[in-house]
Amino acid sequence: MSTWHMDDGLAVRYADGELNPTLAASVEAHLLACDRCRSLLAPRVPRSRLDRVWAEVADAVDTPTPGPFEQLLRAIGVHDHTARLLGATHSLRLPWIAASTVALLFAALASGETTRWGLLSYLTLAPILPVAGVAVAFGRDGDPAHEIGLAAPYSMFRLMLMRAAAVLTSSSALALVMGLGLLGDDWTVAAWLLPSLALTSLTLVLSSRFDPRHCGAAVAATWLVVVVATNLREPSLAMFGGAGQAGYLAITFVSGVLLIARRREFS
Amino acid sequence: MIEAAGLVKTYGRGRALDGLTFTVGKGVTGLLGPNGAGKTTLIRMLATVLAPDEGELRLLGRDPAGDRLEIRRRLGYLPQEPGYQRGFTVFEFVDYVAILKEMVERRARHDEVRRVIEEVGLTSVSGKRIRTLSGGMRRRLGIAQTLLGDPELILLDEPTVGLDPEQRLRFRELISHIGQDRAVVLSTHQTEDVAALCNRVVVLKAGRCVFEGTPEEIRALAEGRVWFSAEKSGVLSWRTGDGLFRNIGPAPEGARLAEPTVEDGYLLLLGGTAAEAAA
Amino acid sequence: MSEHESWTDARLLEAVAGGDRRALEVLYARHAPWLVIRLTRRCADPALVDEAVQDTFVAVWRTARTWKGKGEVAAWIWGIGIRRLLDQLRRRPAVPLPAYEQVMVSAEEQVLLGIEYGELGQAMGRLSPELRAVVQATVLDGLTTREAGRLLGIPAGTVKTRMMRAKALLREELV
Repeated sequence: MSTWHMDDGLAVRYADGELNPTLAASVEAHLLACDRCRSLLAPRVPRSRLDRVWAEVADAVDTPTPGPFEQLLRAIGVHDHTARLLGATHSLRLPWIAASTVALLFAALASGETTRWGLLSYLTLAPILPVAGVAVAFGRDGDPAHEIGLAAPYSMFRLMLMRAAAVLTSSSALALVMGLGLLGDDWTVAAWLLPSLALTSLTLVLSSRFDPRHCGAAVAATWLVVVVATNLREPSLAMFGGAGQAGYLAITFVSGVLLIARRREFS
Repeated sequence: MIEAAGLVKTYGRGRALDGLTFTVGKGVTGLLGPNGAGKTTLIRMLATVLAPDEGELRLLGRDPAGDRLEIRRRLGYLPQEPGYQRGFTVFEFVDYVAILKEMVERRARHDEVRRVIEEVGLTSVSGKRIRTLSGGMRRRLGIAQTLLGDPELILLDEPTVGLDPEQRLRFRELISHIGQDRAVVLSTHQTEDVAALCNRVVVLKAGRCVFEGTPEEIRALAEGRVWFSAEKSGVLSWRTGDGLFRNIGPAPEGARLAEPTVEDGYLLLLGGTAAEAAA
Repeated sequence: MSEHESWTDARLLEAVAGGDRRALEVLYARHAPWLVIRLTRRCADPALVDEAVQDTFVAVWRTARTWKGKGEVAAWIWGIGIRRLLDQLRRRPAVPLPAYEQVMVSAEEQVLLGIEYGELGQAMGRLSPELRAVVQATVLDGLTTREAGRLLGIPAGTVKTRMMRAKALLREELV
């Protein structure tokens, strides 16, 4: 490093743009290598300006990069903070959605092969996915920060409903696309929709009392047992017929009412 | 800050809290008690997560049954085993809790998140994933989220468990710092924590408050009742490094009076009735 | 907490590469002021300069890993800074370089102190403002011909010819 350094006067004149180009060029070449002279310039830029720019830098550096699902939510107009709360959900993250897709894909492929049994497996699996998704979306295990959330002013009930709705929507969209794409546009490919709603809302109500994971497992197991029991002799879609659908609607409705009645249990 | 009278909480047959009465003001208050004394139940109750079955509770001058939201807005809470989304960065996690604390405006929220991360000295690692942090750093992270929104009351459940001596020291520094202008309640079963950083202590035993006062007052309970002797004696007695027995209780023969510690007082309180009878 | 302040730039940059936010803060405190001033000499619009400085340090955060560990950190930062300024200029359609020209043209005093550049400095002082701007942009600011053209608002070809003329003149002066 050279023995030449700027003095305060020179620093001021350089900062104010008053140096002739040649001298300025020399100063600039020197500055790249001299920490001491660089620091002489620090007071020449208003603190507030530096702070303002730093605040922008810090924010750009800190701001979390949203996952694909979060970006999708923002794109359709969800507030960024709400998107964040939803995006943190296990069952709305890529691995979970990918796993659901694969499961559905197999079921759909199976239905293509063997007609009625296959369709049955598809209709059986489709409502289980949102139940499982909801079961791991909240509660002590599903949301690691659950206990902290309980003492926060944000309504846990609202958060839970939002997450359940998001899980239900995403898995339904998945099942619908897959069904229509691989199984044709017969109405039966959407016959799982009401069962989905019924089973999911049932899981939610039970969660007001028990661990959501246990609730999800119990509901899914019951569903499987009932489906198997009604199909022991031969494949039948009886459970997805008119009477069945009315039943699911009723379960959904009753669960909804109970859920609202028990909402305080969630926070 | 906190006024509690006759708090009762029952789980099945057991009573976690059994008519607990105490008050808490500004500064650092230690909830001291053995495992199972009801500390966690009490902290969760103070955090408005649990409601008492019986008794009167006022938090920040309000009734938690009615004004729960208002209390939660002025409260910071670190649970005993806080969960972290381990794939989150430090910043993301605190930001997440900030959203739960109703900080909606993005920019102001991020500024506040930066502030609390700075306050606990984690700025360096704010972009790192939580799974890469040491235990001491995670504990700091836990503290950081309690500071969001500059709450008047901070509740820490067993915040020093599992820290090594140096981490513990830095942690005490941090807690005494944040306890300067607000109320901090921390539960612990370690008398060292209490002696080192609390200006008040509430001792719990089987869901009841058996002592309320300063650490010095606890220590004073054991004044004149701790002895060194060659023989085992007293209600509580153990052999120390130099071969002598340290006895708490009445003076054994040929014993030398020892300077009591907070722990001696605490042990006397826990062994209370037995010690009393022996005295 | 304040130990970062005693670190060298190189060590700070290494820490930044490892995700150390505090190191970035210290680096910013050290390098933002001179960068603001130097960029202001290239572009008179403070809003653009602020944007460029902001982008620079965000880029430092994201690309610290690519620093080879050789040479001055300040020079590396400058290389990013001047290019971010160019990006800003490109985004605005108006040709905004009055400051550059002004600095060049107003330099009538020709007071030359024999510092650093010595004879070269004197020789540069005798160049016309246009040639000097080209030398400054390419040699001093380290820009490519195309980048220099963009900064000065002239075609790259012109930069090349002016540079050749400047070199020839300087050679004469310095022999």
